[in-house]
Amino acid sequence: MKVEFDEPKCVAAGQCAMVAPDVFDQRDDDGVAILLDPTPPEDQHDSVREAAAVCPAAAIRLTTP
Amino acid sequence: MTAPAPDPAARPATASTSGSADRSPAVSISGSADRSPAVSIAEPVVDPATASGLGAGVRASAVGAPDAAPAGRATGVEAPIGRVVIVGASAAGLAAAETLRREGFAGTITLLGDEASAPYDRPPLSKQLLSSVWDADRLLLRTTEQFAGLDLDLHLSTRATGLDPVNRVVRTATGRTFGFDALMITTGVRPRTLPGRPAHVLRTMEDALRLRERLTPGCRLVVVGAGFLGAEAASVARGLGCEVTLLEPAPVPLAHAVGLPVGRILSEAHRDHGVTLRTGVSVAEAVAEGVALSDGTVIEADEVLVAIGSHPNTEWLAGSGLTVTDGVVCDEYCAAAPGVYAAGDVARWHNPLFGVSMRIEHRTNAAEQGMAAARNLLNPGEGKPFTPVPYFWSDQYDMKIHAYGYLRDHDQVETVEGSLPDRRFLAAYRKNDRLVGALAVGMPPKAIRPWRQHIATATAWSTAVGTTSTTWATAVGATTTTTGATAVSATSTTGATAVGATSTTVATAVGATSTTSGTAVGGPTPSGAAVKEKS
Repeated sequence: MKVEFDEPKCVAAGQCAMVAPDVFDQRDDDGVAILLDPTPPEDQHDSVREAAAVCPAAAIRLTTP
Repeated sequence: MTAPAPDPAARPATASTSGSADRSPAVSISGSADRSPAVSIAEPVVDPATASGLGAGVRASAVGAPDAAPAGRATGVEAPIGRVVIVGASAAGLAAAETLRREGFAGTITLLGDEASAPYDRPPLSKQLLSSVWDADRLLLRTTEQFAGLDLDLHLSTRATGLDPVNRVVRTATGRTFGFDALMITTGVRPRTLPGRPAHVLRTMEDALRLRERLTPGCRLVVVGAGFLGAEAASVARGLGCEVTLLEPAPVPLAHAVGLPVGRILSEAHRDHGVTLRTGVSVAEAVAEGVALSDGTVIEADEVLVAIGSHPNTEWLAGSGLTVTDGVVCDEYCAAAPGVYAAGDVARWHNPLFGVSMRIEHRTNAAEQGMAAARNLLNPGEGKPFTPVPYFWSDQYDMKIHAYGYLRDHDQVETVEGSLPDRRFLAAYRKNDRLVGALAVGMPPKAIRPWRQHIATATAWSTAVGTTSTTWATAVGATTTTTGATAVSATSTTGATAVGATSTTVATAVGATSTTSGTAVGGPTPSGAAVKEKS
């Protein structure tokens, strides 16, 4: 799985950091998401798919879902 | 509702074996016609003598009653699901379709959408698209390849007009029928309108592009309604150099939603940015010169945007046996009847986390509920209640507003971090003895997260707020003081007046055409179409 994060789209909702905290974090100042691991291990795939699905800005794309 | 003329091409309901007869090859995006349902299930479900028709399901359902038997739970003999029809091709419908596939559903998924565009994201319509920061293409939710991967039987520009509960088919404006074993209703909402001349609304990409074209420097724009949508549009229009007048029936915009102190702070931002904000103003109709107030005064405008709320797209469900009360009424599993689910803006469901029936018009909820409802649709015997903490954000001027929980009908609001005048704060909302919501402006995520967690775990107000909050906010809590009560009451009254007038218009339009919107996009409606044609 490869994760692509479209940062300008991010609205700092923090849904991804809540659903997949090992793969996403948020910047302290404005809350914009930080992609910690663009190629997460398999045990993270379900939560990353969930994060992509609930992202209110559709800013997370999985190239090999 | 009048049934459309029978489609000679449609298969007889009693001989349903596959969905292929219903396909519209012109817009089908993949080879789904070749897909064989994992299990053939058609006969038991379409035969009213052997199966629970929708009507029976409704009688058994728990719609809105938390203590009754939930429709999302197993109700006896169940046929395997081979064909799912999703009515509404926006965020909720797309999330449902993707979830069905992710959960391993190999049957036919028919996705009906009344707009011509592939599913796109709506929040940027009043933000980046209106301000021309983004092109329309950037709003598309999925690439063509991603759609192909879902193997959908996709029908765009296809409006649902009826639901036959006995034969379990969805009828469309073109007279086609789509049989289903399970149904997902994600038909969204459409904007309320004003009587009089057609005015702009802001719900579809078409709406946004049409308005954007007119927002040139010096253009006089009147925005009717200072809710979040109206506020965002006013903010963008100011940025584009328009002269903006914002009209609001309530004394304090958004007071009913976020409380008086926060509503006041958000209002001040409009005035600071040169918007003429007029509150306590009741608009009667749109006229050639602009808008006419109920006292006869005319406020002149080059363009008028109406942002006075929405109306769930449920008219197509008339006669289906489903309960419709400001949305499709569902239980906590998002089930409206056995095998019939709803999600997104159109769904009114019982949220056990807050113990109330709610209908949420937020982008995040559309995706989350579409996912949850789809999972429950596939596993009706092992359904999970949908218990989200609602979330939305709003961009206005230099502020990004985040709100978590259910702020409406709160008993008290307090500033627990930062300061309101600085427009950098976190406000907490109490209902009875618990924390039910939080609204933050300019606060770091670390400050917001614990509050969201508290809301998700139904933490007691005294525990969550402790003694750290400022005390002045309590004095102006929305419902705890005379001033607050008056303001809220005034809001309701004027709001009801405006809505009443609007509803009449909508109802008339609906009655005249006997069809209404059928997709999640809440797009062109009878009244909306009139706007399009005449403007």
